[in-house]
Amino acid sequence: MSDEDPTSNYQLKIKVINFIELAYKSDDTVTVSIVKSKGPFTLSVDQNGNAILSGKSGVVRFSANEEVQKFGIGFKYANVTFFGGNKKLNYSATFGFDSIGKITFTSFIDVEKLILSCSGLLCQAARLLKNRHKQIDESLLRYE
Amino acid sequence: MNKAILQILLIGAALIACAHQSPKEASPLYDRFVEYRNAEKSGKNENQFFSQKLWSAINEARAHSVKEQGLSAILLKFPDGIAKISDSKEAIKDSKGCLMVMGTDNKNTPTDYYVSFNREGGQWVFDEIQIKYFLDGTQRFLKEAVCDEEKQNQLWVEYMQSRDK
Repeated sequence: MSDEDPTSNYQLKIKVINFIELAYKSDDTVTVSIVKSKGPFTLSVDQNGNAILSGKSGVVRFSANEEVQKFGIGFKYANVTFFGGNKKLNYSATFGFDSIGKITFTSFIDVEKLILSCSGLLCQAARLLKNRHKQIDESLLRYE
Repeated sequence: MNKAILQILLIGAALIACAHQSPKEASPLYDRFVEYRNAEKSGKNENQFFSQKLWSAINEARAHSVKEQGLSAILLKFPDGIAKISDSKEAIKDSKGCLMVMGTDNKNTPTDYYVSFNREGGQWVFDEIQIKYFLDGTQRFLKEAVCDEEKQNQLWVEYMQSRDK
């Protein structure tokens, strides 16, 4: 399986990141707040692309209709459970298919790498946050 | 006297050997999985391994192109998504069963199958297929075969919380 293969492990992981980006486009403040929390928090998508990101900080509803159309025939739902760790956002994702079964994978999002390598809106926000943290750290250093 | 003692020892040894063999013998779900794995997939008797619901869904999916199948193509590789099997566990309650097969895929990624079974017409048949990839290098956290998604998620969160302490 090459990375371009839609069934590759790499592409499976990209799907989860795409969901988070769509949530960010819908509500940046709540999405960042949820993603930065330790969790656990959940992301659910139905066969029509109706998606909900839900955590202690709130709920973001968004459409992932275009995304789910790429998942192929029989797609029924996606459920992702996140749990934040040390710099890592661990998750367990399940994609359900009508009457056949499920594809599950555990992985993690390296928050630092996401900040430095990606180009979407979530990444831009993450960069801004990182810079803000840097500024706060620098201002605090002045008082040491 | 010595002969009697020897006989008792031999019987005892035979009983212990049987007791040790029994878990291996009592694995009807895994045996069925292996039987299908070794069977001719295009054979006309392939359907005998599946519940009617699952067999219809598989045939419907197979009728589509690989592009149309999308992610479900991963499930259609069953049971060959695992290239090398390392262990298995199973749980049976009445006419329902769950088989967990552990191993690695052809890229050496730790991979499990969780297969739900039904008992139909005196045979165990596959009713639902789940494949799981461990893409984060974490260890397997299930101590027993669990096919229920909600229970799996709950156990994953508990495992992550215990790891975090």
